Amino acid sequence: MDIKISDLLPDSGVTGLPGAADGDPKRVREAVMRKIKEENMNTKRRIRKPSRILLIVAAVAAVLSIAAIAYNSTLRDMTSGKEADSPYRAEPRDIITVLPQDSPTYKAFEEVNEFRREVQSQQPTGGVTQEEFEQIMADNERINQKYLEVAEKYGLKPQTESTEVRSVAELGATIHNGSLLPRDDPRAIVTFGNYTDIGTISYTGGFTLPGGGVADYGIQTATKGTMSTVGAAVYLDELEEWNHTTDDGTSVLLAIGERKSLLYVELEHCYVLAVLRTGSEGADVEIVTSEFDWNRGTHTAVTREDLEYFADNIGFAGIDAIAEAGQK
Amino acid sequence: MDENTALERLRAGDEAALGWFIDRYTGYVTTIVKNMLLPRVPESDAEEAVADVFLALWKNAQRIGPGGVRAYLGGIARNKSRDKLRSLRADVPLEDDVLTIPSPGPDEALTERELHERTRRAVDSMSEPDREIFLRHYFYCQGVAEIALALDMNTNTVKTRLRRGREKLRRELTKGEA
Repeated sequence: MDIKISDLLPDSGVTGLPGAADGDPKRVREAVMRKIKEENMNTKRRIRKPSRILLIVAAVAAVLSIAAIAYNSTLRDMTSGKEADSPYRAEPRDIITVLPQDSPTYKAFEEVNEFRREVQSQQPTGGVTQEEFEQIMADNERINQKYLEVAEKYGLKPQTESTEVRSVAELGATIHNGSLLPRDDPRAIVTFGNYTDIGTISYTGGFTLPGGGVADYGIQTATKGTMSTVGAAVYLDELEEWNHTTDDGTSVLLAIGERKSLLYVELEHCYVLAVLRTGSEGADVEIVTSEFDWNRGTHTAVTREDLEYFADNIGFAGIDAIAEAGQK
Repeated sequence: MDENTALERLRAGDEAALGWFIDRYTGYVTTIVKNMLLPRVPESDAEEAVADVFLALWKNAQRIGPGGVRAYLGGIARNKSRDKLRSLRADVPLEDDVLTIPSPGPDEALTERELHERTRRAVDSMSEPDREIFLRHYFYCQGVAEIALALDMNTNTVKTRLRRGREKLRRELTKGEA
């Protein structure tokens, strides 16, 4: 029987060493309250009740500016030319996105994002007062309004509703009578997603690998003719790409890297991009959040066959049907 | 206000209750975080990590049972710190972190409570500085070289004392087995 000592000690309530307990509760309180306010703001941006406008531009702000892509093009064709920098990364990553640069959606997002940047550049950073907080919320409404105006200008359907789901089963039962994604593995770090009134799906979960391991992934779709897009930040140089035809006849582009893997396909009514938070060497540590035990199955490495199995277990016809319905 | 009342109020979204927990546990959380992170990350990052621990308490209060706050904060503090080290590629491998003990028969298996009790007993019975070295390494995830520097020892001595600690733990966990 194997026991991990570093897990056993805290689980056993072993008291740590004394000393270094010089934290200032007042400073901690201030820092926590600031974080709560930031969380509240982000939550209000991300999750609105049905019938309210959902601000989705922030999440895709950085991923616009790309070369046109074609069906089964390579990931390098989708490179934006921009790089994502992170304090947690040794090197910047390449940003890929699925929108053609000359598409109305691209132009619309550029316009909204320009407005957003202008508004947000005037906002305070760090701790905010109650008045400043309320001003930020008012600014968000202005950005939402701009989002609607721009959508109308370019003839794109705006997103106005978003519904949360907590499992693949709930996702399938709610919007589609059938299997859309691989069944949730109970070892997944988190299972969470949503679907919208423009036919997009976003889901983060984990699926069981054929060898018994687990791989966490995030999948997003962007419906053509709507205000939606998807992208990812990856190390392109380390990705090995190939095409695979799934069991249902869909031809998808797969890519495997050391710490991250991708699936991309352009369907008739939408684009689908999935990022597995693991590669041939194991998990991508950046996605492993402190709320959860990072020694769980997310460290399972994947193979080309695992990725093909993942693709074979996605209901692309169902996803495309949902997107088609969302276009109307 | 007692802790269970504070927890109930925290679950109801009372910020004053959160302040109560921060006042009570900042020292405890800071000790864990700073022991794990300093000097490998800047002090400001460690303070952010402490705040993140209490933010997690605020967000997850519904999932914490009565009497479980301290253990929750300790676990989150360790996980946040380990994540931080990993994200900065500043984590260090632990010496023989996996302890292999004979699998007991169905009637001999330790309950979780017994396992934890025996672990506490093993650690508490270690002589100093073995106990400190053991905790620095396996609880705070400090590297052998870091411990050697802090305690003015050579690395081989640290490794020897870690091995001794592991053996003591193994013996305690396998007591009474054939």
